[in-house]
This record gives sequence, structure tokens and C-alpha cells, in this order.
Amino acid sequence: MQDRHLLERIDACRPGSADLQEPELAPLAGEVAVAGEARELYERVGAWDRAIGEALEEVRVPGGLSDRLLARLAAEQAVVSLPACAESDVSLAPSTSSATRRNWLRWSIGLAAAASIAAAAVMGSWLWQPTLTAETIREQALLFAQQEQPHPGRILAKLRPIDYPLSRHIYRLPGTIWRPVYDFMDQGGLNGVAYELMFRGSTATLYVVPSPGVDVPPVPPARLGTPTGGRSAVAWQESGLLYVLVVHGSDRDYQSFVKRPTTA
Amino acid sequence: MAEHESRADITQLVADHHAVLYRYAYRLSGSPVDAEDLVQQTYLTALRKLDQVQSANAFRSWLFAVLRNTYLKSCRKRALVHAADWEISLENLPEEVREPPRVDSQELQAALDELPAEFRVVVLMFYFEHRSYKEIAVELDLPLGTVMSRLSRAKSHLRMRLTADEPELRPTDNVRHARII
Repeated sequence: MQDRHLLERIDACRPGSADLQEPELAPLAGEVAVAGEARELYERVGAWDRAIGEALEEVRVPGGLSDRLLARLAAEQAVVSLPACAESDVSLAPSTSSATRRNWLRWSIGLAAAASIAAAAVMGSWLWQPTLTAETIREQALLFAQQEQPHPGRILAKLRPIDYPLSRHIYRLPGTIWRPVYDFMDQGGLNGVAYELMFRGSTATLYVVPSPGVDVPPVPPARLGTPTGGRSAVAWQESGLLYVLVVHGSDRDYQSFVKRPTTA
Repeated sequence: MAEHESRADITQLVADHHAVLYRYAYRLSGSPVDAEDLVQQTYLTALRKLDQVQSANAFRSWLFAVLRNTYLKSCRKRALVHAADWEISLENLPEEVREPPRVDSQELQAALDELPAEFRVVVLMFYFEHRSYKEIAVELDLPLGTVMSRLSRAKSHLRMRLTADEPELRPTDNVRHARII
């Protein structure tokens, strides 16, 4: 018991500090001042502390970390300039009116049911091409991603668009931002949200809109196709929603975002 | 204008402190991915609460505190290990008096990973933040005796694990199963 108390007091002292001058450690200071067991132990512990302290600093900082942080902070600063909104779930219904676009963030959770009904009604008016396939979706999504002017976004961790949830096949990454999307692929009335995904320098945009029942698989493909202009897209549908993931980069980037794809 | 100044400040904070924050976060979390997330969350909090810091000299301490609290918050739902499950012994110290041991960084991390979060935080505040036991007690709102006990037990564990032929001090089976990974 004596040893434990002695060690506790010695372990409380930082090497090279004036900690021994603290009133609680005054008895220890007296013991350490003279040669003996306490002093020997004090020096041994100090040697360990210095060695451990130095080793703790030996951590390689990943390249590009500061750039990624600054990019994320810049996105956050764009977000905080938006109008105030309850920080929880929010429901978005597809709409083409410009007034709704301006006010989309003001919709509250309590409108979820009404919004869903409105969404179903609007779905019927889409001018959707009946021959739209995974390949045409891929091409049109790439074109849309290249030309769109993104709206300001919100942080997913604070505010979730419950009508357009993140796919269960996509990793939920910290710092993910979502934003509204209108007339996706220039299809009038095809509105939803886009998630901006980032992971270790890889970036991707996941568009989520109501599915018109096109012929696309229920899960994302195992591999990303050949990029066009540095981007490639894949599409799948689940729970009545069409998911289109536009990846900036190669298959390696794609694998950063998608959970265990199961189909080729 | 104010927003512009705020952005300049946060940019400087990233430039000045991101590396040391990452090292701290890595030692706390034991994972490069979690460490980067922790640093990101820390700066996001900093961006929102930058006006709380009165002095530029206090930025690093403040960022450390934000990071530490973010880490602890993420650990709250995980199993906690009681201090009584740990034993310390003077036999765990090396025999050398003057020669400091060669500490391997990865072995050190493995030893840190075995510590419960509340012990890991205390020992890293001591080593990484260079906080005194009194400052740790104030920061964590803990009694001095608790801080001294946790600090000593955590340090003893590190010393034991970093000494190859020291099999005596082992956490109990319960501790091993409950360790935070």
C-alpha cells in the first residue's frame, strides 16, 4: 500500500516541472531530495515519462489534411450563412415553383406527411422518358453534374432530409453535406437532394430523387465504369428512390463510398 | 467583414495546429480515420465558437479541450471499466535508472488502445498537453486523488506493456473484453 501511494505521487510529477513544490507533494519532495528509494524511483519514472512523451509525438500526419480541413470549413461557412432552421429532420417535397425553391429550408418536420402526399401527386406529372436506362441515366447524370449550379447545403449530422435518405449501400461519412436538387438530369419536376461525400481526398455526389421505375438494379454495381472527363456515374434504386452516384475519380475512389457492392 | 476575419482566423488555426491536433487525436482514438474525423469535428466546433477564446495564446489549449471533449462524447455509449480492475506494482518499472527505454511508437499505441477512455484521456493530458495533475482535475472536474490514481495506473500499464518481459501486470479478463477498440 505504501508503494502504491508513493508511485502515485511520483507519477503525478511532470519531468522538469515544479510539481514537487505543490503542497500535496511536499512530503515527497523531502524524500526525493535525499538519495534513496524514492529518489531512485522518481528518476526512473522521469526517464520513462520523457521516453513516452517523445514517442507519442511520432505520428505521421496524412498528406493533404489541412487542405481537406479547409475545404470542409469553407463548406461549413457557406452553410452557416443560410436562413435559420430547426436542427433535426426536415422533409422536402418535389416542387418546381421558384418560391418553394427559395423557402425549402423553412419546411418543418411536421409537414412530412403532407409533403409525401404532394410528392406522390407531382410524380405523376413528370415528363420522364420511358426508355431511360442505367446507361442513359449515367450519361445524363454526368452532364447534369457538370453543368449544375449547386445550392447551399446542410450538414447531414444535424439535419436529415427524411424524404430522401442516404442509401443503405453508402457509408455515412462524418461531414457529409446535402442540398436540394431541382429538375435532375433536366427532367422537369424531378426534384430531390444531393449528398456531397468526401473521404480522404475522394469526392462524390449522390443524387436522390423519386424513382420513376426505370430499369436499374436494386444495388450499386461492384465496379465503377470508365470515367468520362474524370467522372463516372452509377445508378440503382431502393425503397422507391433512384440513387445516382457521380464519382470524381476512379474505382478506387468509388470503393471509398460504397459498402460491399454485390452485383457486377 | 466579420465573416472574412473569422475565415482568416480559422485558416490560421488550421495552419498552426492541425498537425499536433491530428497526433493527439490519433493517440486518443488509435485510428487514422477516427483521428481525421476528430480533428474535423474540432475545427467545425472552433469555427462556431471562435469568439469564446479571449487570447490567441489560448487557442491550442482550447482546441485540445474541444478535441478531447469530442472524443469523450463519442465514447460515452461504450463500456466503461472500473478502476478497481487495474493493479499497479513497482515491479513493473524497469531496472535502469539513467537510461530511458527505447519506446516503440506502435507498441505505445497498442498499450494506449488497451486503456479505458477515462484513463487514456488523463494520461494523454499529462503527456501530450503537459497538464499538471491539478489542471487535469479541474478540466475533468475530478477529485485530485482520482486523477493521481488514474494517472499512475495508466502510466504503470504503459510501462508494463512496453517492457517485454513484464508479464505480472495484466488487466483482468473483464477489462480485456471491455477494452475500447
